Amino acid sequence: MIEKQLLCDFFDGEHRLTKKEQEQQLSDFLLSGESQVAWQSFTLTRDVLRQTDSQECVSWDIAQRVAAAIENEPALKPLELTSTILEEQPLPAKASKLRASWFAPVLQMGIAASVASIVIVGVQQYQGQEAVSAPPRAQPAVLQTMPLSGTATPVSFSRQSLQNESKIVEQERRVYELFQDFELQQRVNSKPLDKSEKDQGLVD
Amino acid sequence: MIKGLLLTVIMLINAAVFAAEADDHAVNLLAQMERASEQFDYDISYILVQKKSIEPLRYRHAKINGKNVSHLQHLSGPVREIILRGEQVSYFDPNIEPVTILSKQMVAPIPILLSNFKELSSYYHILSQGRGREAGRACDVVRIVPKDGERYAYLLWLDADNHLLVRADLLDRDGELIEQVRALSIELSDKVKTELNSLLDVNLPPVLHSTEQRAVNLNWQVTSLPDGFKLVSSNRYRLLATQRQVESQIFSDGLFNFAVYLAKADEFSLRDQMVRSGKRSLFTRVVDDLEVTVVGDIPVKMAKQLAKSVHSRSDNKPVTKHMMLTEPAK
Repeated sequence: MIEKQLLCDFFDGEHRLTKKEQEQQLSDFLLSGESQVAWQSFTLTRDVLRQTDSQECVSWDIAQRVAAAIENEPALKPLELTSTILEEQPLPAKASKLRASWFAPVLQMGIAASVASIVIVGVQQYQGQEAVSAPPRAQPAVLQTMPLSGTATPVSFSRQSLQNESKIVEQERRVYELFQDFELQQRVNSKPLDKSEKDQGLVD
Repeated sequence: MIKGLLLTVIMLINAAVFAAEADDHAVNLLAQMERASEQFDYDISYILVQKKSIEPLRYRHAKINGKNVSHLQHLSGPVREIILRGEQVSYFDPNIEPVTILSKQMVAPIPILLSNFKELSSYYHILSQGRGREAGRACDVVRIVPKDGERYAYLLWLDADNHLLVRADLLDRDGELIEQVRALSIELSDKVKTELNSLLDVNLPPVLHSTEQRAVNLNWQVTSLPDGFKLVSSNRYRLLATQRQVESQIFSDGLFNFAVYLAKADEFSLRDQMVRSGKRSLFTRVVDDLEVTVVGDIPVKMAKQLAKSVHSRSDNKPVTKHMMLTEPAK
């Protein structure tokens, strides 16, 4: 009761205490739950009587209710969190078991194959462009029986590279044979006797 | 400005008139060359200049008892000779059986005899190019340029006195030299007659009798034939070395020849390959199971076009596997 009296005096500003005592007293019983409720009701009453902003009064309650809500909220347990993460990220030893042993070489081969195919396609396209853009006079005219121009087949990718030289020899032989046969045909067909009548283009 | 235009027009007209005049003159010069090379007795030393070689040649000709007798020799390396005796031409080459062919003209690296100038002039411009000096002699220069620009061209130097061939340049369409024949010395004398007289008694190799069948009907044709090229022979036979069965058609425009070969494609067939050796080009490709090859004294580009224009005779479609080679009757 004495406390309530004191609180009332405080509220009305009618207490007779020194500044130090004042502070001491206030902090003492303002912290006790009972006087807090009393203080709250006092202010509420005063506000209603004076018709000051009554909305503020409601906010007093809200703060407490939010605090209560937070208190009731089920807290996340840290132990649970760590356990779930561990399940999803297996240990290195376990991980290597998960990945099959054939996977690494296949991956390496895949990379190598794609690099090779890019190189081959690139070379082919480059050569194709060159063949198109090259002027006709660029053809070398040397006495060789091997193909000098035309599109080159990718050496690394074809079975040809695996085949022995006998194929090339045979191809050279055939080219030479056709050259020879052409020479023979020319000879046989140059001014044969059955076409003996000559059309001389004399302009005198 | 107008003056300048007029001047150029007049010059152009002049040039055209001059060209027309020169044309006749040039044809005349060629005709004189042909006559001279058959009538005179002469001994000419030539060099044959190719991209990577120079070969000395000797060409002798005499008229003996109304018969043309001539002898062409390669002077260095293995024996290579051509002997013309009236209507028999014998060829001696290294690694090949010597043969005699019934013909009036030898096929030599020297364009010794050119005929049918009238016909030639419908596909070639035959132009006089003024005078020049070769082998110490004054020469008339004649140019033979293809009208379509797709064939080789000749530049000929003819002796102004005796009209014999002194120099011949074979040029491509860019005017670059492919082959050259140049005389070093020209000698006209009766001595040649006695020299060549001995050739008449020489035993020559047997006559090749493969000439009877020159027009076998083949069921394919070359459709994009350049103007002036005519079918000389179409035949079916086996090649000498590999015994491969081929069908061939030979074409000539009077100056250059080419042959189209069809054979069954196999694992050795080259696909879209071109080979060039001096003036001679080869292009070969594979269509389904057929190997089409063009060989000739034509630019590679033309050989390629020709190889791609081989069509079936019956339905005019590109040759396919339906167009199988028919085995010859045995």
